[in-house]
Amino acid sequence: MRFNGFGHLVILLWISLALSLGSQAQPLSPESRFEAANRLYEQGLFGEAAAAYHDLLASGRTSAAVHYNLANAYFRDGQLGRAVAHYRQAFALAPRDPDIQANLKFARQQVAGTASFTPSAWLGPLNHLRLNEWTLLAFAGLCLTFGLLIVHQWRPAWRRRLRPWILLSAGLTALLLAAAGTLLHQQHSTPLAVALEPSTAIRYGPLPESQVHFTVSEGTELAVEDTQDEWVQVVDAAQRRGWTRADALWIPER
Amino acid sequence: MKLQIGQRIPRPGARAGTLGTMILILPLLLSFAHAAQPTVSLTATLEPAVIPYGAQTTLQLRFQDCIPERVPEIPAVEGLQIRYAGQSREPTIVNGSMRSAVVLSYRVQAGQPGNYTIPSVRVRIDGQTLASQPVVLQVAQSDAQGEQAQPLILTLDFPKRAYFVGEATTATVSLFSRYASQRLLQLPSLSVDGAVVGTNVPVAAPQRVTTNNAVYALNRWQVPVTFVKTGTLRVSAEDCRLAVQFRSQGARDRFGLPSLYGEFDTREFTVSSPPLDVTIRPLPSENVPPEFTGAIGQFALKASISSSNVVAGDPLTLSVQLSGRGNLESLRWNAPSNWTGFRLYEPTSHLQVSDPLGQTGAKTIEQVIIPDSRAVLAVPPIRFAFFDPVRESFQTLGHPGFALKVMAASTPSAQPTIARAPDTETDRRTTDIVHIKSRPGHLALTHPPLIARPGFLLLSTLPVLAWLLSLRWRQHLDRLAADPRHTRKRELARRLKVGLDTLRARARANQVQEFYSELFRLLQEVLGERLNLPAASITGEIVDQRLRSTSAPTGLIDATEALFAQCDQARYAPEAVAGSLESACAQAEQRLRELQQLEVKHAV
Repeated sequence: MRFNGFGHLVILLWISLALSLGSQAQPLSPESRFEAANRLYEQGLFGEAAAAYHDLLASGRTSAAVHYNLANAYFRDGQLGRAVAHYRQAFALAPRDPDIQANLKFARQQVAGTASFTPSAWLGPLNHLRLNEWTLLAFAGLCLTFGLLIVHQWRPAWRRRLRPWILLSAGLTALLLAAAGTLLHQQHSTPLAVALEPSTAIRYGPLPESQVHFTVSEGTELAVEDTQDEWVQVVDAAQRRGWTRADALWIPER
Repeated sequence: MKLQIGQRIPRPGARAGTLGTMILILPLLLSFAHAAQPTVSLTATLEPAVIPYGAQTTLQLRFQDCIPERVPEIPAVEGLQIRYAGQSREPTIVNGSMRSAVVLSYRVQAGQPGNYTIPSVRVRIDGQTLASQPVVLQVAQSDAQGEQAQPLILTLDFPKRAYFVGEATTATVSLFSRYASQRLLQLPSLSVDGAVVGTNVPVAAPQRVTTNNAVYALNRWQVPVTFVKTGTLRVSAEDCRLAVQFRSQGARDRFGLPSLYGEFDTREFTVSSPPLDVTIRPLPSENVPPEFTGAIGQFALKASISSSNVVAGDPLTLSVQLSGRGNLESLRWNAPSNWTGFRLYEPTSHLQVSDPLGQTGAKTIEQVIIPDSRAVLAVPPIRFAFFDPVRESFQTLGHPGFALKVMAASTPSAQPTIARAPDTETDRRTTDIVHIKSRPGHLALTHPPLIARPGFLLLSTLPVLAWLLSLRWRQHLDRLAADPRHTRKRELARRLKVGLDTLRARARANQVQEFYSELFRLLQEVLGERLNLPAASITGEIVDQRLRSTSAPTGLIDATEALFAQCDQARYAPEAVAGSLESACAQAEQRLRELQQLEVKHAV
């Protein structure tokens, strides 16, 4: 079979089409998308960088670095509320990261006013570890405790020697379970929302006509106590309670 | 006076002293007695005292703590018909003592409009004459104008007709109704373009008034209004809806007779007020203070500061309270941006109103200010300007400011909010955020926490289950240890298994003595366990003694005795043993298994 010039052209076009389709069919890897978003950030396109980080999160992939970089992009873009929200999410995933700690602290310092709700000080040590880390430690303690109890049954002659270790292990497991349970309760029963608008009105009741009780600035963290339709009831550091629209706040997922 | 022996010598003046004491005490006793007696009285009232011509009213004579012997006659009044309607009792408790009143009611109707005075009614009870006060009945004229008076009137009024833009005022809406039975379905609402209207607040309980020679029930509300547009604005109160019950004409009961109680129809009415023109003027444009931010009304200023001793860089809270009457919601105050030496944050505010209309109260504004250095000596004077619509001029209020003692910062300054993140080695005074991370780390799929996953919870139950199984196993072992028969039986099964293997091996090796020796030992073990005897005590005679008396099959007993005999023969005369060991082994195995399954009544 002989190919004329037209035939060569058709084959060439077909090969090009196949290659382009093949390249389109292969999506960017999450790492590539992360790097692309970083390039946008370094070019000063903070809004576009934030959108790119958001797309990465929307694909179901998450890490402390993504939330951290997204928070930085929001901060540079002047959206302090969203920056605080994502610094908090990064902190929840990597509580011992010094960069995340520093930027979260710095962002909170930029929040105007003194209305930000702060949890009790004794809960601070719990945030040194992630919830999953506390859970795994508690699970390890559980295995150790019951393992010792099984040996206690297997070797009756060792019972006297094993008793103090069993008590110690059980106590430690109970503490670890309590820590994990407390952290879970703190995150789920009284989540901390973040005000997203420059000035958010907190009203006496869940109605647009209700009188304004007080206002909070962007980035203020408020404890969520109740929800009703599209309204949420919040409380600030001075224990002032009121209602505001849920879309004015970032509320962590439960 | 002649005295006798034993007679007491009267003291001079003794009789007079006793009498004087009685004279002094008697009024006191009488006053107590009087106070203890209930106060009788007679009062007359008309309910109502104003009626339209053709209506009736009720005259009530109230006898407090007494009962008339008969129904008193009311003095005749020209033009009035007065008929006795009945009586009732009203017990009351006053200062802990029970009191009672008898009320006599009379129906009163006037023959023509006018004012009538019913004179005092005098009644004699228990030798005492009681008299009521005269009462006046006003019968409104029901001439053509009165009869055609509108049944429903809605009016709107303002304290004045001219305001400044942004000035808060109160509109009064009045509903006059001649209907006896009505229910308000919807409050009137103000219709005006260019004003912010608040919620209706009732003024007082409904009352009865006479106007246009007609008697009306009056309902009144106040509405807060703030005009936000200049010009002449037309305002009216509209859409006041009420339901009125009317007695149906010609109502009849089920027997076809005129109904004594009547049927009622309910009709809805909607009424609006005539429009009112209000002039709204703009604020003056001259002499506007630079601090003016739109406040209109009459206000007072108070200011305070959280502390006057502070470290440079530490926050202070400046509280400014603006109280008075006016547009409180829109009051604003900020520390001026030209306050040098301070870092300023966005203020927060909260409002406290002291009247239901929300026009009187106080707004407290709190602003965080941070002095930068020790050079800052004072919070500058605070100024607030507003427009007073009464004086029609701008007013400026001032506060002299606050002296400060600012100390140098020796450590990194504390922040208003306490971050949960612990201090690290890099905790220093930062001026910007740390740069982004170049590596994404482990990009994991979003999952709920471990503690919330059913699979993990299920996994967590495995250690518990393992422990429960070990507990059960230990209990089983302990039970076995406490039951020697059971232990022996299990041990026998193990030994029998091993023993049979040995027998087979001996049989293959044709080791006659060793074979039968092992067989003898196995027979002892099996029969010892079955008969609950020591294995070493089992012989052929035991089989005959113990098994014959049980329900064991005779064939099995004979076969067992034969095995014992063979074992004895093999021990003493091995060369006389006939037959192959392998067939003997098979038979022996069968007998041993049968003996192992044998159920015998165990000897104690």
